[in-house]
Amino acid sequence: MVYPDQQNLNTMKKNKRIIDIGKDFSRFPAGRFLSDGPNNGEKFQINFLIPVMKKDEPVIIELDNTAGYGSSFLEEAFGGLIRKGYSAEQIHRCLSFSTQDPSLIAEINSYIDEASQESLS
Amino acid sequence: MTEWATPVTWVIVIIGWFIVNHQHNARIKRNEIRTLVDDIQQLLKDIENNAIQYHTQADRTHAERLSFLLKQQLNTGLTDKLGLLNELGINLEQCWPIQKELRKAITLNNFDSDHFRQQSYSSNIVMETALYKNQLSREIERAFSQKYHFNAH
Repeated sequence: MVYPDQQNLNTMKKNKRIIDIGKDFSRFPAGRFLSDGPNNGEKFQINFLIPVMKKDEPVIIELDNTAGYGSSFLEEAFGGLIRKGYSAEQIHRCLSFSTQDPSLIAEINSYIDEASQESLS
Repeated sequence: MTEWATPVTWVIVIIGWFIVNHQHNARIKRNEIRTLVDDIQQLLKDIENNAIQYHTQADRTHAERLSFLLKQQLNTGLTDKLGLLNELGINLEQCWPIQKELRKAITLNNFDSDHFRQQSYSSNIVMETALYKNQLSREIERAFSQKYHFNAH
């Protein structure tokens, strides 16, 4: 797995809007659905990701400034975009990720691609 | 003593000092890495225990605390320590996918959920937690021994 080098990341950050989950949404993201608590994946998707997808705007999602993620949050927020009718291609085009944890990006991408496969079958 | 003998002696002494110093530093680095590996192994045991406790207990009094703890341990705790190990020269390429699977096993289903269902010890969640914890644990030991196999003794 390859980290983007710092220079590339800095260039990307200059040119794109950054959504910092820890600062803009919550330090404590938790849960999948609106019924699971105040900082769930569905709420993050509705408030932050869907507006981005509607504008077809490239953004960087900063993942590092939180106390950690449950996979249910990540699956609903990002994989759930497929279930809302957005294509994997558009999601990958609009969203890029910044984190020190390479396994997080792999996990998010796997949810997007798995949900896309499921929607086709 | 001949004229050339003194400089040669000094050269031998300096080379000897370099070799001894290099070996000493390598031993210290190996011990530091071993300590870090042991810390990670203990963290993995804690994660497994907390995850099984979270999913198998009907009493939800400590669920919020355990959820918070698990997310910290799985993300910042484990990631930081694995990142440090990687920076110290241990190749963890095979570990990242297993780390991802471990997080999924514990937190993808029945986690931070309004519809929590108490799991049995033979449930998929508990089995997969143990499976991926053991896989990650073995893979870290394999990566360590791969680097230090010939320097271990």
